[in-house]
Amino acid sequence: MGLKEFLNKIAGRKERLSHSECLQMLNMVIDEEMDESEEFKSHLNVCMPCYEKYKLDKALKAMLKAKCCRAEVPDGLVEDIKSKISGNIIS
Amino acid sequence: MAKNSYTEKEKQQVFNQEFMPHVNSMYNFAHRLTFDEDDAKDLVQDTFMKAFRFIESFEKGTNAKAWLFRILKNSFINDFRKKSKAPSKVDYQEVETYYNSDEVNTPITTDLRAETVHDLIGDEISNALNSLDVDFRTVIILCDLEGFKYDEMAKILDIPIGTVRSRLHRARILLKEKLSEYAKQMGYLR
Ligand SMILES: [Zn+2]
Repeated sequence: MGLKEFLNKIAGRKERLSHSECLQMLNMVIDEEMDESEEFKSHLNVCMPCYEKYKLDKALKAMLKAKCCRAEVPDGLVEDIKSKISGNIIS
Repeated sequence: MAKNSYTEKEKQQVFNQEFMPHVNSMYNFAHRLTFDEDDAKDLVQDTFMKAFRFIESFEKGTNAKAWLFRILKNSFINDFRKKSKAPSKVDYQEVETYYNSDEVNTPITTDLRAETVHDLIGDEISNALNSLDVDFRTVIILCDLEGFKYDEMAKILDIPIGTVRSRLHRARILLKEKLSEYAKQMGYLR
């Protein structure tokens, strides 16, 4: 048993997340690399800085996706590629 | 690498069904790397030509998008970045050290809030993204715009997952700093 587990056990709060653990997890949760666990959610309920950061990072991710994917493919690019490919096959 | 042999007809099919649907994402990525329409076009064309030439090392039904993005990123590094006079200034060692230090645990330094982000129009978000150093810009594009997972990003960029995480973390901090600068200029923040 590591020191941390030992201390948690004494404190009787086996699964509770610390503030720094929560911050370490935030990106992973937002990027869906990790599920939003109950421990994570209950930490957000009591920790304002983590909650604010979570909301901000989530909003930013959504805004990036909505606002930065709009480059129009120039006319003719798709046709150019396709014709080069067919040329490749003939030669 | 395992080689697959495709008939000419199959090559054409794989190309049209698995590669071409990603042309929009690829162009967007290329444009955000080069900031130039013609360079972006060249980069995308070049990527598709390479993809076709090496189509036999592509396994049908696997992640074509990640495969194509990897080729594009490598072409960019080899053919485009070489030409540009400003090399990347990201010091990976420093980034790694950064992530492993306690700094990751410090609260947000900017006063940017989710509500403020919603007030920003697309241009600020886009300009802030474009202002980032290319390595930081790239991880945001791959993760937030294109939805790649960390392990896919690690393969596309040829870096360990730990570096993906640290670079992404740092990139987001820089992006938020830039955005709060804009928000201040626009009077959303004081
Ligand atoms: Zn917290």
